[in-house]
Amino acid sequence: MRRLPALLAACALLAAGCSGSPAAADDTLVIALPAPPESLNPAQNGSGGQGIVHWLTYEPLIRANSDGTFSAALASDWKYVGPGNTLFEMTIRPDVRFADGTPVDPAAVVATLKYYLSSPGSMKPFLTGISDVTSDGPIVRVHLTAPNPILPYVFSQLVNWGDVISPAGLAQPDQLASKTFGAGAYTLDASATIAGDHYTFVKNTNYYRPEAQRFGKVVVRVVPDPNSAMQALTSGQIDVNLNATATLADQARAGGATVLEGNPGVLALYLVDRAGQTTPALGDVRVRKALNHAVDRSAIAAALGAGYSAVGQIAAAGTDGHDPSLDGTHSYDPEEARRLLASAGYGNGFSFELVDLVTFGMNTASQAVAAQLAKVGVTATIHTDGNDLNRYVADLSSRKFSATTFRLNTPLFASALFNITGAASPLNPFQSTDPDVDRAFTALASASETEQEPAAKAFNRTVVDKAWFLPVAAIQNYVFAKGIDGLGSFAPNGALDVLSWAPQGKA
Amino acid sequence: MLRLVGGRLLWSVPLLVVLSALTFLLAWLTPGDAARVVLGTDTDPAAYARVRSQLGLDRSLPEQYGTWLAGAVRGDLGRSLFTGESVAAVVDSRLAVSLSLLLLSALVIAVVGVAVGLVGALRGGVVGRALDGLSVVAMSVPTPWLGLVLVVVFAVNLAWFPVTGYVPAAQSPGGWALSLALPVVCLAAGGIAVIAKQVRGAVVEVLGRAYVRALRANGLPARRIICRHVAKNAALPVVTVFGVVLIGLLGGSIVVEQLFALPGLGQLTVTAAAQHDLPVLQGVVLCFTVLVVVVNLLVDLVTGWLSPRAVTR
Repeated sequence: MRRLPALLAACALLAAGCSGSPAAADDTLVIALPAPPESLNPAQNGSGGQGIVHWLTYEPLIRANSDGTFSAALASDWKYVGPGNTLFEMTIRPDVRFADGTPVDPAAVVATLKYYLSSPGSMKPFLTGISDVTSDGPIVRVHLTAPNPILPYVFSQLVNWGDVISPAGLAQPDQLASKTFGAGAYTLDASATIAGDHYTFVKNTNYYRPEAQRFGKVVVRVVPDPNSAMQALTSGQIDVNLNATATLADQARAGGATVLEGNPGVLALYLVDRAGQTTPALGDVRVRKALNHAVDRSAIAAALGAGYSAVGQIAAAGTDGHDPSLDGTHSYDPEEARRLLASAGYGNGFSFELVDLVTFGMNTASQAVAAQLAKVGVTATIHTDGNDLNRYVADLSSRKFSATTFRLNTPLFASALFNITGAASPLNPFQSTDPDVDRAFTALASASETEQEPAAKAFNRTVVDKAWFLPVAAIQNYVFAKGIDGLGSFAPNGALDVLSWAPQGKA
Repeated sequence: MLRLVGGRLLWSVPLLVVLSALTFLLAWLTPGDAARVVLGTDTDPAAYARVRSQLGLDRSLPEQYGTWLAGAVRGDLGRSLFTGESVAAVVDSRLAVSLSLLLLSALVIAVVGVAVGLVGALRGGVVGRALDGLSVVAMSVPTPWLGLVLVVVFAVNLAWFPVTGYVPAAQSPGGWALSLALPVVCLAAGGIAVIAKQVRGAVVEVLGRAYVRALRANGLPARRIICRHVAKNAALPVVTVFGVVLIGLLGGSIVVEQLFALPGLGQLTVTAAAQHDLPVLQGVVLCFTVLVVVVNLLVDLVTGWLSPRAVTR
């Protein structure tokens, strides 16, 4: 027993002798991620905060800002040519060099985009419709067979496809997963990096905007435990915490951190059997509306906890196409639900099968909705595939399940393209079609920049009116930061102004 | 003794083969695969088939295992499906972290566990009971909770230690010790309790034997009885349990490395398993298996030294 105090004393001495923990130096930005990036190769990385390893190292063609705007990066200018969003032009800025000193020219941009078009990856669907990429002087032209109105977003840092890769990188694609080949503000210091644990980035001496290199060094660390990440932020060991959750937000504020909230997603039941092939009842719009009326979204959102809010549409507040008036279209009204069910001939209720995954609170939402549907006589039998995406996709394709719970936080057009109208999407297994939805989608796809927001709203209204979904709750994402100036905000599309972040007092 | 070591090492070969095959099979049975991880929500079947073929996942299970085994025999553990790094290099870069954590924890468990156990056995009474109670508490405290409490008190409030991360000893020996202090305490707590209880039980039992009473009656000093005669006899069961505790530490280290964001093998296991990065997973399992073999061998050697009868059968 005498040794215990001695041991503690020894620890204390050791601690005092080494003058405390190695706090992050002012000139170093330390960022925590919940999991390692899927890949350092932009073609293979996914979306969200893990993209930070590319935001630092690959200069995008177009920069998405945290206030929701887009600004020039490698492309000094961009526009759709002619009506219909099927030809997109970008003017490539001259005199920019990759970190390896070679010039960023239109040929490199074309080669990069062609590489992306030929590489499978999780963000690949965003390139849907692009048939060819050509260059003419400083101009790069993107040719499409189907209209895509969100190419500025697609070629921004948020979707990776604007990350231009140097010829050296494209010549050895195997190396893309372990080194960086961009024209971004920083480059990977492989000697100070352990893949999966921490990634060290140092200044790119060839960067064309040295004033945006506000830190001498950036370290991206993987801190899997959200509580540890939170404590590391409080103690000053990290500066920005991307392993941030709603439940820890108050604690973060109490520890002196700034909390950014943004990039909302929507949890919704996709009522996929809209023609009633497996569950005839769901083919009737009155039934789908009845299900929407039967659910007390506010109660579910409150039960799901911090960060959730009730939502009656698939576009969260702040994202394109969101229309506050749509939240009231299917207000909580069990009487109305029963009346609609009776008028459709299902006064005694009916049952259907639902498939989901346990990730992102999807299964919890399914259970809450099923409990409420039971009150109006509708039985939803839940089948959970755990976190097995393969089995989930197979189950959806089997057409055995008439509904699924899913959470998406992609822009409305992207959702519409991949998951609502797209025949190949697993989230549209019955390949639902509807003349009104098609018309609204076509209008949105080919809308000019000024027409886009009204067109997105109109599309949103159409799917709400047809009750193609049963939206449940919106969920926010979070960023905690401490000792950082110029934080900006967290855009609804997920953009962060990483290159504007600066050491406190030096912004 | 040489025969013992040789026999053990010979036995470890089939063990390694069986375990690696089992890992392959279990990873294969686990839902999902690396191609799905690469593709995420891109569910295009053509892309899926292409990535599977690129990663070599479209081959039969025995063929994949055969290729891996053939490489492993030549010392080539393959490359990570995600970073392209050689598995040997990945494991090597993380081995020092895990070994530091495990060896320091083992040391702390041995020293503190034996000390606490001896005090409990020799003092008895209130002190003994208090230590007993403390042991039960230490054994039942969940590691993540203990880790969090340690972090809040010693790393955030007192700021004596870093909250997370690892500093290589070559870079700063002091930093290395500081970065491992809390993880070691967290990992060792349960083991200390087990060893303390074991030591206390064993010593009390040996102290009660007739020959100890005889030695006492002959007027030998208590210190000499304990050091010379009791310790060696009480050590036998303790060493066996210590081996089991050490092997248990391997599992505990996975939790602790996640909690303190240490770049060790445990963290690598979790990532590789989640990503279905089979070559990396195989490399880590191989490494853990070798550690288990080594620990068991050491336990056998020490047991043999303490009680030649136990091994010369």
